[in-house]
Amino acid sequence: MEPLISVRDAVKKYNGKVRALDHVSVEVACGEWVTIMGASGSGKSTLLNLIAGLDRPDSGSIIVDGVPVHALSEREQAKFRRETVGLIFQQFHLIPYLTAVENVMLAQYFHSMADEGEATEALTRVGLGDRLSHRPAQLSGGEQQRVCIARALINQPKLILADEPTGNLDAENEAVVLDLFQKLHAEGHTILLVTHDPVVARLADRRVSLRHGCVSHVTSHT
Amino acid sequence: MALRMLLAALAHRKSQIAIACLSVALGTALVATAVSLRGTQQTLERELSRYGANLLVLPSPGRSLDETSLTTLDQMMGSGDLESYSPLLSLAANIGERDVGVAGVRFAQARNLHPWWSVKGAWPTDGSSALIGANAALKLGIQPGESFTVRTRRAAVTLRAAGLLGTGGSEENQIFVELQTAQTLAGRPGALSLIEGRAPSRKLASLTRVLGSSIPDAEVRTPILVAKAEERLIRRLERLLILVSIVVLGASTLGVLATMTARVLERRREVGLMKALGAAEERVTLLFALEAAAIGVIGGLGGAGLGLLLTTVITLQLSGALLPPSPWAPLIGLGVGLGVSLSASLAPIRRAARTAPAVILRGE
Repeated sequence: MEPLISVRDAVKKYNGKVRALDHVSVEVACGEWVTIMGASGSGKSTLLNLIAGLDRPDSGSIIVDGVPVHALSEREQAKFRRETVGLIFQQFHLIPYLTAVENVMLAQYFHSMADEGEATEALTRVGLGDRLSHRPAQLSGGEQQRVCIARALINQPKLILADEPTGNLDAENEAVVLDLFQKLHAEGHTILLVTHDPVVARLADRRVSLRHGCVSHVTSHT
Repeated sequence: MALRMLLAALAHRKSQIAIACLSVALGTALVATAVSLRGTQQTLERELSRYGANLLVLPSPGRSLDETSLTTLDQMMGSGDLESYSPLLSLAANIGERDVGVAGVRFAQARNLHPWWSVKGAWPTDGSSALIGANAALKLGIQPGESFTVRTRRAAVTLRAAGLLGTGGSEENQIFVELQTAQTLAGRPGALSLIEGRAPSRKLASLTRVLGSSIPDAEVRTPILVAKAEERLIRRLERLLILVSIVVLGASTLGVLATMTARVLERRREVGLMKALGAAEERVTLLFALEAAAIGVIGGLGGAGLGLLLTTVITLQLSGALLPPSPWAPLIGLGVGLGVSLSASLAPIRRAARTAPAVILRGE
């Protein structure tokens, strides 16, 4: 069976010198939960950005759901992101002057058409049914991350990419968010999660460790 | 959703938006004022016509003027080039032992040309009645309703004083009779001393040329009246306003440009996020263009209102009349406001739309 993500021999250099990724090859099957681990500067986020179509490799190929992401034009990459990928960030990246429900609707608006009912339902699913009209500043870190998860899921993407989703959370909120990831995995979502926390990494099916831009080892937990 | 985003974004940094709207409003106000003043020019001309004749047709030296030349003026009245005219024959006469200046006019035309003339009593209705200038009446001891005889070396005519004339000028020393009566008294049938006329100021120059060539024995003059000077002042003011408007519009554009650039720079992460979520350049452009349009509409309408107020104050100060404002002013204000805001926002919006998502998400 074709993997959902296929990264082959990807190289990414910054300023033409700093090699963030050095001939990395990774495959992720449909419905699989894979974590990417490594120290700061190991190339974890760079790999995630390349798979998300937020950046381009200098060489190598990145195929997601049969789409050659590395070869897409900017316009095609934007289309790929809104239709195929759900992004979750460590810094949440919510728009400060929009309410929780409006932040979720924003992803719908860019995808097709905003639907407040659906956005409300998505927030209720992540336990924020009573926080719909709260602005990010009125929400805790954990709640903001759950809004971010609801926004990532609203357009039913084939792939969820999360960059250190629990990096800014306390233990209690971390548990809530990880529980949500486990549920998503159980529902069959494909998840690629960047973390430097071994506890988080152990929840996944597989762990890919990066070191100085290279895959150092791959550990299977199943 | 775009509308919700717009309202939320406008409410987010109210002071920034307010400054941009004010920039647009100031520029628009001056343009709206200039346009309104231009729009009220015709009304102003009507107002100025109250000040009387602005055209004089006199016989050339050694020549005489007669009623046949009035055909040309009647044709000009028919084509609308001339608003009104009044022929006049002056002569010296006696009432009893006293010398008096007599002016023969066609009363209906004289009344039309000099609407500010005030008559105590009634206007004459036929050739047997006259208007007595207020000073002349005092000197001659004639009251409205009394009869008196006017004599010259050629004729004597008994007339009835229909009313007393007040003009505040030299006319108050004269007696006004029907033109034909004056011609009888002078023994010069059909003769005229001069013709006074009123024409729209924009047509004065061409009218003077045409009259000069059509009536060869006449000299055409355009006396400079206070009203004319006033009209010139309005035109100069209008030109000044247009000039100032151009400068202020330039400043407004820079003000909006600075505000929109600051907003785009402040919201780079936000735009990066939108792009990361898959927003096409057109969607990002639309969101920022809506903000710019809202600034243009608010500032434009505010500026149009301010402009109308300014126009009212200016016209009141200059002519003492409350002139109706130009109905186009709000539309022009809206157009100018939108134009200034959108053109000033073009470069910042382009910059926003081209923001690369990965750069923003890395926090660079």
